[in-house]
Amino acid sequence: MPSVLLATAGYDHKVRLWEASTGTCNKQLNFGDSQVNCLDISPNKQYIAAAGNPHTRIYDVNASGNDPLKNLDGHTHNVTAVGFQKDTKWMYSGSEDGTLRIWDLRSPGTAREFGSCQREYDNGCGINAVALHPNQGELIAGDQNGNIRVFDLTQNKMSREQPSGVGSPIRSITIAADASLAATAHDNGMCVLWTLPTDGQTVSRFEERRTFTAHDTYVSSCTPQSW
Amino acid sequence: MEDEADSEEQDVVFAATTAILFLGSLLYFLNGLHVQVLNCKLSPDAEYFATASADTTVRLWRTEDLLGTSDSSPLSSSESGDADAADTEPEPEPQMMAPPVETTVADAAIAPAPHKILKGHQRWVWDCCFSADSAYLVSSSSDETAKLWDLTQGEPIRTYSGHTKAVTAVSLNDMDTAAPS
Repeated sequence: MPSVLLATAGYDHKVRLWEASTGTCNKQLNFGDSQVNCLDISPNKQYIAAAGNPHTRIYDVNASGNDPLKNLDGHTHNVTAVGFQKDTKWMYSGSEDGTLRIWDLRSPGTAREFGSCQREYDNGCGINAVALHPNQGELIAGDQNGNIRVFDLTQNKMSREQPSGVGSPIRSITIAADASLAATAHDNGMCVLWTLPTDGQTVSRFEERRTFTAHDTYVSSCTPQSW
Repeated sequence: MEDEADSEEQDVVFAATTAILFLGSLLYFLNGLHVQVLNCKLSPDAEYFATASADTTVRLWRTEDLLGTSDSSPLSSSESGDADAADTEPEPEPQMMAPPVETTVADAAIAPAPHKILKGHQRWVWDCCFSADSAYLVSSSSDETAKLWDLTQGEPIRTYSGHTKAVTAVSLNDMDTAAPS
């Protein structure tokens, strides 16, 4: 039976690990000085990455203590996305400082220091969301200008800019595990569903298939609505 | 008396103007009738699309409905919001999110009805994550909890309580690590 790791974090400076089936909290990891904006669990279930403003921290799930294994320093503003390569060889982070970074996760003792920043890409404007293409070779960033940008890790550069057509900042980006579909959510409540045509091109392109309003609830009162 | 009526009218105009200005500033993240989507995820099997929202719900869509590859689905009707829950504690600080670009959505693109609307959180839902088999979803909220949803029922089956402030991120890894990738 596969083990289940469930992690949550937010504004109380703790990353909580839960027993998913029973609801009990197994562990509280210390995050430190800011809220956590995003977190991810490594595919091999060994690490948890959590990021806030502006720090990114990586934790060893099996360690006895509650402090990070490593602080990944470099971003200067809110880190809005973190994720792992499928074999947990590296992880990525994207930030409102406009940069996308790759962090080496090969074990300590190799020539490159664990958690060192291997690459930095400049998106030109704040990044709000990042997804790693299932091909492991492209990082897809969604940004404050409402554009999708594809960063090709083999060519080591931005390879495509795809306007979303919505004219509103991208809030979230997701790609299905078989890369057949992608979706973006925007600040104005619109969502776009995309297909990624496999027409022999080496650089992924996005074909808009549906643009729609996802949540259309009326505001029903004038009371101060703390958000 | 005319003077009294004028004076009363002025009071009403003043009060209305103040209310409009106040409300306008509160609607900072709302564009007309559209409520912000805070996060979205496609299920691993690509059959479902989930949106986590400031309207306290997670909406689950069948991607075949969105792509038009299924039989036509009824258009969605607007939900009456339970958006007036009495909130006294402030939600996460504004600087986490840069201000949205103001847009006018002249033709709000109508969506098909969502497959399910997951109701249960009391406040904004910030994040969500599917299980590896696409049968479950975890969501996290400003209501300080995370919830596990059985997607065939559309009901929450677990609530994870303990955080003392908004839970803005959730991650689930129930992949079978022994399986070849």
